[in-house]
Amino acid sequence: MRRKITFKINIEDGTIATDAQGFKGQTCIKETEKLLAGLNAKCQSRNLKPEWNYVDQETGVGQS
Amino acid sequence: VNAISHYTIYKTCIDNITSQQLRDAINLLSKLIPGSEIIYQNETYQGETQTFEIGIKSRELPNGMGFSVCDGKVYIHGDEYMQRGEFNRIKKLVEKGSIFAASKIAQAAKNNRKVVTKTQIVESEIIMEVEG
Repeated sequence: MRRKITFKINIEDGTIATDAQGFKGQTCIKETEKLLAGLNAKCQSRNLKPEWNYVDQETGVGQS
Repeated sequence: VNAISHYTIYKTCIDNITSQQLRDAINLLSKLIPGSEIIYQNETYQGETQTFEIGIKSRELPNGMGFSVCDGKVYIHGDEYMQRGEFNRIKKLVEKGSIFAASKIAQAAKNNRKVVTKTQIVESEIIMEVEG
């Protein structure tokens, strides 16, 4: 599955909702925060998907 | 040169914006509005030419509107007469910062070797998809 991050920027209030797909573990948050780095954005809430806890046993991807 | 009847400059609350960031944001905005074009000046009803760092004009915004930066603040130049709906829609995109946010995310994607595969304005949101 391709790794994709969708940003929805609210025109009315400037809030940004993000949705990461195709990531395993916490890399999704790291990759999202890289893209938001220039915005000085503060996280208001976060819902983790089931694949959040996935750790690839061979590569260790997703390991905290 | 676009003729406008009443010329106003609005100071926005957006802060710490550079001229380059302004140009990037308005160029992105132009890509999101079909048939729009970049402009650098327009003309008041009295025939006085007004210039700005960058501006935009489209079918729904026939007299255009301009933007400039001073001390990190963004200023909006123009007149909503005969183009009120589009003028205020774009004004909101700029003064609430959403077009700058989209532009900065696109720049960060480029810097991180990712690809912006979709950017569009849908009702009250700018939707941007980044892959890679």
